[in-house]
Amino acid sequence: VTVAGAGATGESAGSPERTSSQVWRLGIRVLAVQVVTLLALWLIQTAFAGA
Amino acid sequence: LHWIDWTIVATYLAYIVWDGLRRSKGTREIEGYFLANRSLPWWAVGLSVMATQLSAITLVGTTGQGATDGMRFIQFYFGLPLAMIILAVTLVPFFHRARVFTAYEYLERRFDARTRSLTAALFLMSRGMAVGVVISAPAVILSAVFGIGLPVAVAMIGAPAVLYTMFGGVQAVTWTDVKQMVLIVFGLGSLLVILLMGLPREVGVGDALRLAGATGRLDTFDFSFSLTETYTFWSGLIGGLFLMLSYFGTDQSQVQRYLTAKSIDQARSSLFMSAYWKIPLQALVLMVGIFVFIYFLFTPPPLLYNTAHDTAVREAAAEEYQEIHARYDAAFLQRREAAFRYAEARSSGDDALARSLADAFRDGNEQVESVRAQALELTARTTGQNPRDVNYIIPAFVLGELPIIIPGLFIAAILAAAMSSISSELNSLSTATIIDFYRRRFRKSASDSHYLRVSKLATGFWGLFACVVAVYAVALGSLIEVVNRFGSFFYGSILGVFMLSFIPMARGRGAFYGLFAGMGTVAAFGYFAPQISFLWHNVIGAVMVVTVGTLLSLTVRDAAQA
Repeated sequence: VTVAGAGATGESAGSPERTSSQVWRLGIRVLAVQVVTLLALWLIQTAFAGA
Repeated sequence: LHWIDWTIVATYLAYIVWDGLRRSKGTREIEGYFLANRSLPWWAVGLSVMATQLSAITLVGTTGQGATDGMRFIQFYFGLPLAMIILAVTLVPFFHRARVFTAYEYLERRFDARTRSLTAALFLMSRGMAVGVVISAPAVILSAVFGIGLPVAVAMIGAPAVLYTMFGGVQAVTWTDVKQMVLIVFGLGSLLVILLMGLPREVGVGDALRLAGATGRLDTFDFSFSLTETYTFWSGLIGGLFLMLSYFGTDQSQVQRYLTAKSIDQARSSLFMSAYWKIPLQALVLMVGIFVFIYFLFTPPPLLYNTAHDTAVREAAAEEYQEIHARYDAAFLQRREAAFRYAEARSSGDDALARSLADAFRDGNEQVESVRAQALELTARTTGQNPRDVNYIIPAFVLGELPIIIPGLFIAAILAAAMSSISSELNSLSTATIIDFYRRRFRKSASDSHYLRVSKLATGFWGLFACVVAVYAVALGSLIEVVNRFGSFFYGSILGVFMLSFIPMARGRGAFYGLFAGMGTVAAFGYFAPQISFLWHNVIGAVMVVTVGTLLSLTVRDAAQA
């Protein structure tokens, strides 16, 4: 079973269902992307706060 | 509004109704009407999930919040990605394998009929009211901006959405949601580009962001742990997690979106789309608001953004209004001067001067905000209405400052945002009414065409109900929070029932009475400790239901064993 990539979750209709651990792995990838997003917001906050 | 803008709005309305109605051709039976025969691709479902959550309140109210309060509102969504992952692993496969129409149907299989009926009834009550608020938000604004009667504005938004939802079913809802979502994102992106291009030549994007940062508008994170503050990191992460679990996992308006997906994995993928994109999208929404704030640092902003209030106060208290306006103009000029000089000092590399000018800018901004607060107080005094005009900031900017075509597109985007939520919600209200009550309790066996007919009637009924609520919902204060408050009273407790379903020893009696215990506790907190933020109500309700429900279930089991 191929685990679909981040964002591109385009599995074909006939592919076997993901296992629970594969879903968790996808979830961890989602969280990692969110951590990067929050880090970017944090950088914006700190970089432009000291006017 | 220019006639070209009206033409854009009319074209949008005509197209969306036509596009929705043509979907009715493929809807001949109830599974097709409510679930598109479980055949939709993940990306369409994912966009529909996002479009349902993103209402006109987001487009108008949240951008306004960005302009006045900055980025910190985004913390509200910090629990969303985690909620999506938990749901993808837990409830999504359960719902799909159970082949249910509604989330509450699953509760009858797991517990009993009365738990199903109670949760479905709570959903109908809270969502029925909430969809009224979702209509009223843009209706109030359109009514004030264009000077049309509120019922006319409500009909302008509600009627097309009711029409295509009623006849086109979930196919119409989903495919119009997809197009509406594209229009909304395009509209927001265009606004941001226009705002960036509209900065004065002497002011770079970096300077603009520093000016916003100086007023605290780029402060995204508040790590303080406070039960009374809604927008903190911990409220968003923990309270927000419970709210999102409940909204996406137990609210039929969202559950029905991913029940239309082709497979469990496609349903999961549709939720992951929100997990990836919700926070960046919300950042875009707030950033548009922040850049509108920056725009009005260099262009004189209205004293009152709500034109109806502005006219009323001008007439009722002309002298006082003029005196406040004169001070507002002076404060604005002082702030603008400081902002320009700050940008100049930065470009010349004089950091010491830039720092002192930043202080002068901050003083000027405080002065502007203090004078505006006095104007709002005068508004409350003379009109007797809530003077809060956060929801009017972006419309005032778009309609007052931008050239033709853009206002038309923006109004179309507001309508799209409203309709994409209204249609999904009406569709789900109809589903719960027919599946959880009509078919379950009144007509257990009838032909598909009969159920299809009454489903359409139920959609029409809920549309009418929502429009009536919309006309009376205007006095309910901040529109963003009203919707969330409606939900949070029941949300946590309903989530608690679904959490209970995963505990093997839990029984129907525990779920049913646990639900009352959860709602009662939330109501008690709301009454005796109103300072506690509504986000925490979700946690309190869910924990209470699980605790009381489990304990009660244990007594049931003991009784059975005895």
